[in-house]
Amino acid sequence: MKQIKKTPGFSEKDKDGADAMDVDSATALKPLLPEVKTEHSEEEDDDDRPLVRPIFKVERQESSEVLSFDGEKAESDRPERKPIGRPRKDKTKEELPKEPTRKTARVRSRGGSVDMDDHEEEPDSPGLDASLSPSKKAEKDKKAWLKNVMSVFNNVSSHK
Amino acid sequence: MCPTHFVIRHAWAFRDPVKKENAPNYYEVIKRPTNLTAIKKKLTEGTIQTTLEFHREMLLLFTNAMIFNPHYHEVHVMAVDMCNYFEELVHNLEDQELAENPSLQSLVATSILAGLREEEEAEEVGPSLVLL
Repeated sequence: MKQIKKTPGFSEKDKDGADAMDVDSATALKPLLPEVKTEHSEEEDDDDRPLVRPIFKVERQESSEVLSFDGEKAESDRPERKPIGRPRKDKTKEELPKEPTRKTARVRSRGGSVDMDDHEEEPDSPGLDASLSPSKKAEKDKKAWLKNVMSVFNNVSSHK
Repeated sequence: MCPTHFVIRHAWAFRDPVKKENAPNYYEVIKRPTNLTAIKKKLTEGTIQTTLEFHREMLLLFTNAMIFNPHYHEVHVMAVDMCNYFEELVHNLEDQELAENPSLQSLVATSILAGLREEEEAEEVGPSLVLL
């Protein structure tokens, strides 16, 4: 005589009156039945585990568009979330020392506008005097002096 | 013909060296002759290296003209007129240089003293000027 094993939740006779399934037939059927996990089962509600909703994503390479399985927008399409808490200071932009560029230096020294196409060093700019060697500086001073003296000479010689 | 920068009413007399046929005794009277062309050559060649040297050279040019020519002579009048104009311009230039480099002040003073000594020595020797 076959021994009937009682399984929890099953009585010998079901509520509908059907006979309880025996153990062998139940084990034989088990691999054939696919295990289906429902998204929201009553067993998980009973547990204290947090609800995790699986999201299946499929990436399309040709369009580089991320699609989500559940119809939600992908992360790339979502609007940026605001960070929680105090915003961090961006040190790279605010705290780096500002060095004057050549163009700004030229504007300061001349008090005029910037010629964007002018990339050559100008010999008369005062900021460059420190970088000149003494001999070059003397030569430059000599030229400036000669220019002044010649201007006086020409004025006198053309005096009426 | 005159070069363009000397084509003016006053400067023609000071442009070139004085010719002997125009003033036979000029070089007996004037011991240090000069002219505008010579001064310009000295400037471009670098013989004159300071404003003071330039100042003295130009003054020599005008004083030569004023010494040789009588006060009523046209060249004398030109020399006075040009000298006044030159003094005005060169003083501005010297003031500008002194403002930029105050150490030149002592150099100027030394040079002025040297000039005064030269004049004193010349007076002791006696005037070489013979007025016509």
